Amino acid sequence: MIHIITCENRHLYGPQLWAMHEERRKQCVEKNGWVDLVVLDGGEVDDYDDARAIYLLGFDDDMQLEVGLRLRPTDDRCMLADKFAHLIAPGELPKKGADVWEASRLFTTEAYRAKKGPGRGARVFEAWAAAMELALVNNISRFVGMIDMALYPGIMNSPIDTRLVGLPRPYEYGVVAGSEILLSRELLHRVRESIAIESTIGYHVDEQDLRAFGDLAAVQRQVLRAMTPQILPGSERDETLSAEALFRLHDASGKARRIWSDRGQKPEFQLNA
Amino acid sequence: MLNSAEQQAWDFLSKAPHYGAPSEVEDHFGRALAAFGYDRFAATLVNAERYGKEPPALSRQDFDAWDSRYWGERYVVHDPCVKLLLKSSKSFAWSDAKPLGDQRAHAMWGEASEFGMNDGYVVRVFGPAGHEVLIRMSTAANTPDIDPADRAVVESLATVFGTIMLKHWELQDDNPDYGVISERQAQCLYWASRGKTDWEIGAILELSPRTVHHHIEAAKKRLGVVKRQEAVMKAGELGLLKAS
Repeated sequence: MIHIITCENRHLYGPQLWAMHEERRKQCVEKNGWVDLVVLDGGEVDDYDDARAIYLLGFDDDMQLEVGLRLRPTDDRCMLADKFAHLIAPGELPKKGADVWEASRLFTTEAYRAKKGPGRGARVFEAWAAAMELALVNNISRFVGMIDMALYPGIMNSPIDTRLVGLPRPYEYGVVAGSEILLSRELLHRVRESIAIESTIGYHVDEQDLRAFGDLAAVQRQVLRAMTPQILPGSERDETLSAEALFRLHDASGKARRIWSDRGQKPEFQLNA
Repeated sequence: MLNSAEQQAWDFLSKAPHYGAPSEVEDHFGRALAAFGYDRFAATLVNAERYGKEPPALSRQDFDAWDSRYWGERYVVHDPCVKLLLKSSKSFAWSDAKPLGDQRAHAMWGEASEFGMNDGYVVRVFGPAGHEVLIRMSTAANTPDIDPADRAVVESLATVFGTIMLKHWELQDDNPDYGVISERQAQCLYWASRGKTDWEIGAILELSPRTVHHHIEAAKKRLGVVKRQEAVMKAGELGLLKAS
């Protein structure tokens, strides 16, 4: 499961978002050496961490951060188009627009990278799959971003077709290029297949979930159980709560949430009244 | 606006993932590289012996004579480029390595000059399954102060080239005309049937995840199905799944 964190549920994720900014400092400033980034109280923050930013975070069972990705609409501002326009080749489609989101600050934590065994390496694609699910629902057709060319062989070998949008250029710490991912249902299906997952991966936790299940770890447990296919032997599953979580997971109309929030109130009509 | 060399490079970088045959990739890479003055290149899978195979040249253009001399004279012992390779995974120009060399290395550079190789560039590409490709490029021109922007482009060209040639090398092991599905396709489907992800299958079979994906997609086409699970079931019904 990947947690989708928007301005609507950000208040539920205080410590987790702090951990994300701290991890970004470790990755970007300390590991990559991008010393010109702004560090506030030990966490890396930039202009694009505003109310419109959407964070996709993955946690282990104890809610320790494992993977993170930031998305942001580009109809107002775009890092690639505004600050790194020299990375865009002449004749390319505009990199800002109502149907374009910018993806940035992708990271995995050191603790996650040190893990061995099944599932290793899949978390990054879970984050991308969740990003694609969310984007497709919002009629987004492209992700744009920037990549360090040292990582490009890995990207070319991934199931996600990522194209360069211009010539790579040198920067202080290596070589960087603008990039673009064209979104489609087929691409999402391919990414899900590559990590052996069939269901929805992203989930937007709200206060109703916390009231229902207690805390974020409990919500995550429920959602994961709901996502676990029954055919797998030995998988833990709480049928009643899983059914409810599964229903809420696919509750595109918001009906299940309304029923839940209106519970205990007088019904609109009664038989034999 | 891009200058003509940059335009050539952009053509290669934007189209390279869609080229079909390795010869087509080589051809376009050679042209893009030549626009920056590099007329010879070689891509070698340097750690292939760990897979029980000779270190194969994935691609080469006019590098044979110099390689023969290099190994004949055992220059590898004195070559300062080897020191740099052992020290860091970063790309470097011959001009970066030259100050680190001894007298024999000095003689080696002199001989390289006689072969029409006055400067060069070395790029390393690391495949996800642990493969390492070394791309060497050389030029007859003496260009100690290559423009950093050009250097970044040359490095990127080599990175993309090495990655694609490695993928072709991984695929060539497979015989697509063997049976209903190929041996590699059967292996990938077997591990997919055990619930493994592309990354995990790649780790088991020492392939990149993208190559695993390629094999499974090819198997789906051959079995006439749309979904991976359908391919697994059909291959299972036909008794085609095999671990190794």
